[in-house]
Order: sequence, then C-alpha cells, then structure tokens
Amino acid sequence: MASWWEKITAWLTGNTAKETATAAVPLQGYASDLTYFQELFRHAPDFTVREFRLGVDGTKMAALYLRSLADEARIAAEVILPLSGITALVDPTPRGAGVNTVRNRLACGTITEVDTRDDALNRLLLGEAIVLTEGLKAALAVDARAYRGRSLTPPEIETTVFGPKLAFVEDCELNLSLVRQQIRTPALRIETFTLGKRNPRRLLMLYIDGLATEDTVTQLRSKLESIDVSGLLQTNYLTSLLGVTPWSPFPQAMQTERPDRVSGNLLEGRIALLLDGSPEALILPMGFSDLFQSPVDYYDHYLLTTLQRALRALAFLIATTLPALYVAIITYNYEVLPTDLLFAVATARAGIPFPPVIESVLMVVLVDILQEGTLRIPSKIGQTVGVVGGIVLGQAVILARLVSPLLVIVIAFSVICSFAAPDYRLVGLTRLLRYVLMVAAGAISGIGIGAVWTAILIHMASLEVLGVAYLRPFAPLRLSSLSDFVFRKPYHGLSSQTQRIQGE
Amino acid sequence: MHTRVCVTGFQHGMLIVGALIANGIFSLPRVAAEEAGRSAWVAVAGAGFAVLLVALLSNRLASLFPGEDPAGWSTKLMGPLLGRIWLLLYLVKSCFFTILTMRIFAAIITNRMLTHTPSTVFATIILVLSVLATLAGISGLARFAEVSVMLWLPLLTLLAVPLLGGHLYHLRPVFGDADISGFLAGAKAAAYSYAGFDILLFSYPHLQKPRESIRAVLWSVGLVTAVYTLTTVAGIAFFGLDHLTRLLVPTLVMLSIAETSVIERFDSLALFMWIGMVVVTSGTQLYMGTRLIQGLLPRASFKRTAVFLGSFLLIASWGETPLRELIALADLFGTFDLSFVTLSAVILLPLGLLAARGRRLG
Repeated sequence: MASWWEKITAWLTGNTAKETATAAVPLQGYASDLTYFQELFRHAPDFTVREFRLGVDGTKMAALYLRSLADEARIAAEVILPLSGITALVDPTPRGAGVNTVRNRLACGTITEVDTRDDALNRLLLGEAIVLTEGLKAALAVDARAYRGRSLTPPEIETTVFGPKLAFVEDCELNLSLVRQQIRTPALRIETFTLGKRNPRRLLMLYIDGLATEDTVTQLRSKLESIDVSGLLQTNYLTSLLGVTPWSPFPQAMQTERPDRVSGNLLEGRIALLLDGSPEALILPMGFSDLFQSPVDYYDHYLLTTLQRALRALAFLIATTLPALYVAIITYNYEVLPTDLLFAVATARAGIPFPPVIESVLMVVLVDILQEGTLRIPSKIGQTVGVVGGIVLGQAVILARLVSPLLVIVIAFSVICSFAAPDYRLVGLTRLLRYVLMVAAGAISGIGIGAVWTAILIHMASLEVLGVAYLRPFAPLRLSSLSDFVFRKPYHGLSSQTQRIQGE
Repeated sequence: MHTRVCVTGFQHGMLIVGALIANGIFSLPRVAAEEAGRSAWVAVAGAGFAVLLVALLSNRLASLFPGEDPAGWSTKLMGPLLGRIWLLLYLVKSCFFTILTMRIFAAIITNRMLTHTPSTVFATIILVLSVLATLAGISGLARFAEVSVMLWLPLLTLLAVPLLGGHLYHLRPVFGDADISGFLAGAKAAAYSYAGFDILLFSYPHLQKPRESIRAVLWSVGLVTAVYTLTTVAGIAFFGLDHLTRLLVPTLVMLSIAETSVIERFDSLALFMWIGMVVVTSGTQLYMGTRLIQGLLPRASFKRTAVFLGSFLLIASWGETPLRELIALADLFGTFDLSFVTLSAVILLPLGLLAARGRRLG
C-alpha cells in the first residue's frame, strides 16, 4: 500500500496510482533474463543456476531455483535429466513450438508458461524452478517445491475427544490435501491468488460450487484481488484486510486449525482460505453464533450438544456480566437481594477499604496479569506459577482484607466461564467487555450494564460479513436455521445446511 | 431514492412492536384508569383496534409508492409547498417523540433508582445509543429491533405475578362502569402508548416481500394491544381502582412484586434491561426524523444528519423536568400523534390512489 508521502507526491505531480504502478516487464531472452536474475539474487547463496546445452545444436538452457525452497533431487530427475536428452529444438521460429518441445520432455506434474519477469520472480520465490531456453522469449515454471515443514500433529487449541486428530501445518498444498481427503467432489473449487508485492504468498480460496452463493464468492474474490500489501505472514493479517469493520473487536472470520471444521463449513456453503506458511485456515462468512460452535458438536449426541451450546452461551454471559452485576448490586441496587443474602454479603464485605468497582477492577487486573504471565512461562513451571498466583495470592488478598471472599468467587467463576468458549478469540473479547461493563456499572449502576449491552447489540446488528448479517440466524430470524445453532437436531432432522448461509 | 431491499416481514413487525413499546407501558394502567375507571382495559383494547385500522390504512398508503418512503413521495403527492409543510410537521412530531421517550425514561431512572444523578446523564446515553442505532441504517435498526424485542419483551411475563395475585372483584363488572365518553377518554389517554407505529411507512420500501406487510402489521399491533390490555387488567386487579390512580408508574411497582429466592425485586433489573426497548423506540423516531430532513434537504448526508439531529435534540431538551409533567405532556402528545397519523392516512390515501390511477392510465 502506498505511504501517505507517496500519495501526496503522486497527487502533487499529477500521477495517478495506475500511472505510477510499474508495468510488467516481459522476458527479454535467455542471456538478458539470466543476467537479470543472477543480479537480483547476487546476495542469495541459495539461488542456484544449472546451465546445460542440448546435444546437437548446442542450445543453452538453464534451470533457476532457490535451494532453500525447491527440491533439488526432483529438479535433477524431473527437469535436467529429461531435458538433457533433447538433441535439438524442433523449430524455434514459430512461437510456442520450442516451448512445447521442452514442456513435453519435462517429467513434472505442474508446468506453467511464464511470459514476464515479475511472474517468473514470484514463482521462483514460491519455490518453483524456472527453465530458460536460448532462443525462446517464454520460460517454463516447474513446480518442484520441497516440503520442509513439520509433520502432521494433532490440534493444539481446538482439541476434541472424538473426531479426526490432524491439524493444519504451514504448507498450503499439504493443508489442501487434508481438506481433499474429506471433500471428495469435483465441485470443490480452488482459486489461487498471490498476495504481497515484496513478499509474495500463495493463497487458496476453496468453496463448493453450487453450495457457496455466487454473490459471496464474487465479493470475496474482488476483495482478495484488491488487497495491496507488501507481505502477508499469517491468516490473522487477512482478517483485518477482509473485515467489513476492521475496528470492531468482534471476530468476523472463523480461524481454525482443523481440516474437519473447514470441510464441514465448506459443505454449509462457506468459503475457506488457506495461506502458505500459516497453519490456520480462515472461514467466511461467519456470524456471532459460530463462535459458540465446536467441531466436537457433531461427534457427540445431539441432546448433549444442545446442552453444551446453551452452557457456552450462558458462560459467555456470566464471564462478561457477572463482575459488573456484582459492582452494580453492591454499590447501588442492593434492594434486589433477599434480606438473608444481603446480610451475608454485607458481612463478607465488612472492613474492605475499596469501593466495589475498584475492588473488582483490581482483582480482574490481577487475574489477567496472572493469565498473561502463565501463557509465556515455560510449561513446566507454568503450573507452579498458576498455583502460587491462584491459591496463595488469592488467599493472601482475602486475609489482608483487600477484597471480599465473595468477589474472589465471582471473579474466579467469571474467568473459568470465559474459557468455556470453543473459539479462543472469544476469550479476549470477554476480557475486554468485562472491563467496559464493570466501569459502566460502577458509574451508573445496572443502567450502565444495560446501556453497554444495548451498544453491543446495535454494533452487532450493524455488522455484515460479505453481505451476511452477523447476528444471523437470530436477526434476521430463520427458524429453519436454528436447528443447528442453538439446538442441534439429530442428523436426519437437520435442514438443508446451505440454507444457513444462503438464507440472507 | 435508492432503497435496499433488506427487511424481512418479521423484522417489519418487530420494528413496529419496538417502536410502540417503550415508556408508555409504565404509566398506561393509571392514565387509562383515571379516565375510564374499570373500563380502562376495554378502552386500551379499543384504542389498539383503532390504531390497527390506521396502521392498515398507512400500510395501503405506503404500498402505493414502492421503493419510496414519505421523504420521497410527500412532495410528489402534495406538491412542493404542501409536501414540505407536511414533512416539517412530521419532523417536529418525530423530534418531540424522541425527546419525550428519552426524557421520560431518564426521569424514571432518576426518580426510582439513582436519585442523585441528573436525568440529563441518562437522556444523553439514550440519545447516543439512538444515534448509533440510526447510523446502522434501516437494516441494522431492524435487526436490533428484532433481537431487542425477542430478548426484552419476555420480561413482561413477570406481570403474570401481580395478575395471578390480584383480586377478581377489582375487575367487576367485567366491562367496567364507564359510559361512552369515559371509554373514549380512556382510549385517548392510551394514545401515547400506541405512538410510533408509523415507522411502517419508512420500513415498507425496504421490505423483501411487501405482501408480508399486512400480516406483520396485524400481528405486531395485535401483540402490543394484548400486552397493554393484560398490563391494564393486571394493574386494576392487583391495586384496585383507587390505589392504581395514585401510582405514577404502576407497571414498575407491579414488577417489583415478583420475587424469587435469589432476586427480591425485579423492577430494578427490568429497568436495566428495558433501556434496549427505549433505544429501539427513540432510534426509530430518530431514523424517521433523519429521513424527513433528507426529504426537505435531499442533498443532506444521512449519517451527518443523524448525528446533527441527535445533538440538536439533546441540546434542545437539556435540563430537568419532573416525571409527572413529562407524563402529562406525553398524554397530550399521544393525542396529537394519533390525530396527525390518522389524518395523514385518511387524506393522503385517496390522493395516493388517484395518483396511482393516473400513473396507470397515463
């Protein structure tokens, strides 16, 4: 994306963005292109050029690749060895004839003709080998990428008792094969994009033709095509680039490390994005209720799943609002408590020097810092810190009469509830809302809680992701779609899954 | 005007319910009983029926101008001068309703809960939230109304507690003892509680299936009438006529009667949550006001106009007004509102039909 200074200078000089953009330079010929790439990668020790000549006419050829990304053994066996067997190019004069001769001899699966230097460079950086031939203006890009990532492992965040035990890794192709293993249909459409000008990354857009709506696919495609960034490292970057409301703290795209979750959502008419180098897939469009769904929902009994979903929603409400309710009731609205409970609360709070709002915020800050600390501590001593922080510190603050025991129960319960969410990003959102609600309750009692929740509802009602309402299927209400949101009907009772997304 | 088809029939109905139910319900049993005595509930039900007829007329009027709300069709129908005068009157009505809605709720909170906090603080909060709701556009507003009504309306089931705990002899004779003038006075007093249904004129052009509008109008006005009637019956049955007429906001007092082992009084909790419904009502009025300004000044930007109108209303209504005066003002406003919407529908509908016939022939 152009910086503000570039924009100002472009405006002052009268150059539009299109005019300042450099045009793609076509390949210039063997010698010129070879020198260009050698010059470009003169500081890259992994840049390799394998030059050789054809047997009879002595035509020069070269295979260019980055050793760190490409598989040298494959290049030797599938590119250099077969090409060495060509005695001469049949007829280099008519355009394409020579290229076809070379292409026909290559033993690779994916071969692409490349016309411009930019395209060749992008492919080189993605791990492909570029074959230059003397006398030809076009080059061939050969997919000989090496996989140098970790092996497949079970999911670490979205763990389940039942179901597949494989998670995505950093390689896009491998991730695609994991999805393919579950979606075996020719209707699975895969579109490839290269994102990032300085640091190109391959992105795959997956959807099932006939299930995903054409409108949603077109919208997402145009959004992806319009992304203008220097580089993308993780799918998280994409969420803010694709989000309709980037400033919103509410997650607007599902992020998952599970291929089965991607497959399930593809079958529901959604679109998945796989980015090379990222072990998570993005799924769009999503709604707020999707944050409460877990892959395990489909591996358990439907009654149990329905109960679990209700508990998750209740846990979210408790996690965000319970500390704020404590503040509001203790500070302003103690009349709502029955007399016996009121006496118990008053006894517990006797001698506490802080007002409830300060007491609560202090306690939540303490727990949040403890949580942040344990996240970054090596796992072997993490448990110890958890015990010291949770039990020892908790006991100490009560004995020192800094907070009431009732508040410790409220905060501890609220924090535990926040982890009931299947989507980890909901944990962060819960923490954020908890602070806002507590401060609002401390300022103007329960009216503050009501006002904040009203603002949240208005915000969620105004959100749309790729034209789909964020609050669906509650607003707009789709009774048929509720069968797999609040409740989970048995499989034979589930309505057409695609209705859920296409309904709007 | 470019209209985006984005409102479902159910949302259309929920917008009407949300626009109707806000503050009026708190004082309705008293204001109706003061005029109609034990016939108050019949008067409230009768007022609901009258409102339903006007709503159906308004719906027919809206159907004559597909894709356009009053901001678009008023000048076409009445000419530039009359159309603008009508828009201006409509705008004043919407602004006044917004002010009353936020002021009454703010005064109730100051009166019953946070006595040391100026009501302007709460009025400001409601107005800010209303502006936010308006900025979400008709689709966002419709979704917000849908969720709010589904979340908060069930709170009214708490009214079953005083209804069950009431005394039947307070309700005898069943249809009350008021004569026709008392009955009409009771219906007139209930008019404020039914103000706001004309949002249907503004959401109709955005309906995905316009034919669903009539059904939405029927069930939404019917639902509100049922809730109001039951509230009035509960008020009379529980307090008796004499006691009821001495209470400023009897519905809130009734809510405080419901009791469980964990929560002793529900009125405070009800007020916490009812803010959502109040924002739906004031948000719909602010939306209407914004669109009406756009009808007067077609080049005005929607978002800036909404923010400007919200700020103007806040400054214009700054200060403290006693709750009793506000409720008295609301009763007067209710009569004006119902008269304005009824007259508009009765006069403009034949004009609209003639215009539509002219369009068909020519």
